[in-house]
Amino acid sequence: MVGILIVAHSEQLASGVKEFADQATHGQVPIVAIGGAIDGSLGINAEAIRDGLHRIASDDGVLVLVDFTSAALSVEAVLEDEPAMRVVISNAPLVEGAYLAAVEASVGATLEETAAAALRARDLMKVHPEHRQRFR
Amino acid sequence: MGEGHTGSKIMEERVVKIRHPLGLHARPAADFYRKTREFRSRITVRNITRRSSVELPVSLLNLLQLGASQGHQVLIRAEGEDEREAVAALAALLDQLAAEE
Repeated sequence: MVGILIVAHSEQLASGVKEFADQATHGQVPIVAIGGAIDGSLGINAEAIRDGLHRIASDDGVLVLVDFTSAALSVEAVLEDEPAMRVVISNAPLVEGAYLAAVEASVGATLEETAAAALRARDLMKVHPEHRQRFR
Repeated sequence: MGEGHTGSKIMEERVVKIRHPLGLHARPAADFYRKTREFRSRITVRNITRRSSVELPVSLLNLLQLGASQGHQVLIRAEGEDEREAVAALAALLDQLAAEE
């Protein structure tokens, strides 16, 4: 099964997204949340990202969801030393993307299908058309 | 649309009332979508309580965008070899999810 790595600048943010995705999939998908700098402040910890990738790496691959660009850059830097790992970094919004990807992975989707599901989060309309007068 | 052989419908459909307090969102939507993947029939959903809602093929994204809140009526349609089983299982799942709350 495809694994999902959540990388955010805050440990609480990463854990919260994992909690949500875990509930939606009844814990069936390997999901690891990495957040915060080494000292616990807001930031990115490259070694924690590397450890996280190793915990869920498999032949099926890993989809990485990030909060901001610098998180994606850190993951890319780690992957330069891990050429054998099958990893895709998603451009999807973090919360919706992690949710859609986790559910898709839970029904046996491939890494490519899981990545495509996450990206669909960019088209998600959260305000129903009937309430459009309040939509911005 | 019509009927094929006498007595054999070419489509199965049922209107179900959403009783889950959170509506068909987040976790219930994920459970519903995962259940649809167990069947081969083509499955669509429409929120008939919302006048602007159209019939949509089942995907997780479409389910989230149905805007199906508690009390709304949702039309589930399935067409294919296991259409009866699919609609029955999906209606039963919605009841089960509501009962678990």
